[in-house]
Amino acid sequence: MNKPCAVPSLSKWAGIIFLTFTLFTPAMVLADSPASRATVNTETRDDDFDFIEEETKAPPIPIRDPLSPWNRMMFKFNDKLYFWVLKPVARGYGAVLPHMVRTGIKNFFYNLKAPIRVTSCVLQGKGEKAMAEISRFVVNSTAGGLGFADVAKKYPRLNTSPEDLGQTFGRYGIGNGIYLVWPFLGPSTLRDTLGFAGDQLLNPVPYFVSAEENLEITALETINQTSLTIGNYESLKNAAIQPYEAFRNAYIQYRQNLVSE
Amino acid sequence: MKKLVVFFMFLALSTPATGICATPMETLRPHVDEVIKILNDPKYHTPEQRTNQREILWEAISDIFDYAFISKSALGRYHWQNSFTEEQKKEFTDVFSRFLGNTYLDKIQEGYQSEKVVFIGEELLAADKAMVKTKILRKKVEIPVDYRMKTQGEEWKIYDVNIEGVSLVQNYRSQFQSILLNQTAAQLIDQLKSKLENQSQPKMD
Repeated sequence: MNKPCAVPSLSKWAGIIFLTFTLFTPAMVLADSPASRATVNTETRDDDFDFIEEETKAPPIPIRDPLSPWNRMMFKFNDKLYFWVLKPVARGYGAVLPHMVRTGIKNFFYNLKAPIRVTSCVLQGKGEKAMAEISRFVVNSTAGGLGFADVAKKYPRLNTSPEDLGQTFGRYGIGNGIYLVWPFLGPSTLRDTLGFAGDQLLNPVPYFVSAEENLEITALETINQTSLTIGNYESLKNAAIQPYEAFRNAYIQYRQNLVSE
Repeated sequence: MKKLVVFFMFLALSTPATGICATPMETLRPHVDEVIKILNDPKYHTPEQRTNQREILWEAISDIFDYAFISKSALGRYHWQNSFTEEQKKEFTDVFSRFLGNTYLDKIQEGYQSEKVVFIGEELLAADKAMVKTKILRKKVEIPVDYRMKTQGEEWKIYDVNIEGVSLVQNYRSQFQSILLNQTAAQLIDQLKSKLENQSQPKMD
């Protein structure tokens, strides 16, 4: 198993970066929000544009990206990481392990993280959804053999979209803050990063294994997941003219949609 | 049994795109079914038949999209009205439509995993505006795809596609706005053109 050896320093980096942007954000934000400049020119009437605008009740807020140079660098890094390391490794892995086994591993990890989802359901007052998550966890952990089989899939009521703390914060009215791209983890925002950090406290795995084992497990999970989704990243990137902007916008829209659900 | 036959006859008679009275979903469904049928047709499952298949797919989808409207709204009001000459608008619409069509076909032709499309329902947002909700079912995943459709009296056409909550038109708009911050309309069109050229070549991942 390849160990992503750069990961341990991540938390240190994270601390430094957090400090940097909490100190400097406001000024940089003002200097770097031109994305909103080119929006609406109401001088000339055009029915087609009226048609578009009347439907967007809440027009998408352009995300602030004061750390864009860093983010672009990380975007490139992740891109290379995917094509040079992750994809070839996942290919080899996928050639050895049958699809069914890999899906089982994916289900196992998903099931294990039920506490994260249940907590966010509760924090958002979604009682029914929390019950569905708990039932699903119970069914899959028992009848599904520790979660390897997603037997609850048969019951549509138990298949809810996963909640997380980032969405919970969004539900509470907390905005995205600034856009962030993390090495290994990919696109995020300040809000979602804090949410992700909180979610990790509810991930049971680290409480049962050593830090090193946890890294190996995370690497396995990532490779397993990649082996099941090879091609997705490529086709998204292919459809883009400006990949960095395309992923940034897609991420924000995607999360906004999840929050509003 | 007789009743059933009559029912099916009625169904067969009423579904074809008769235009005026077809609902958005009724308009969309035959196109999607047609695409799936072409993709499943073993006749095209040889490398030589690929281009052939693509042309037929083009035909199946070309008249359900409102390319002119999509192009316009992807640029946004400001740039459409201020950054592009009439000629550039035409050129942009043409190039962008082909780019979108190609991207879409690349994706479904290469990534096709014998998926099914389930129509969940339709929602009339206004007299001339609707949303058709569908789901693409793959082996293990479900991808929600919503089609936004509009009509100008005759037939319903797609003017935006939302995949997992991400509007394609909005996504392209953010890219175009970023390009047009420091580049001209002509440069944008050139970028699209070179993208289009790269696309048409067979891709070696």
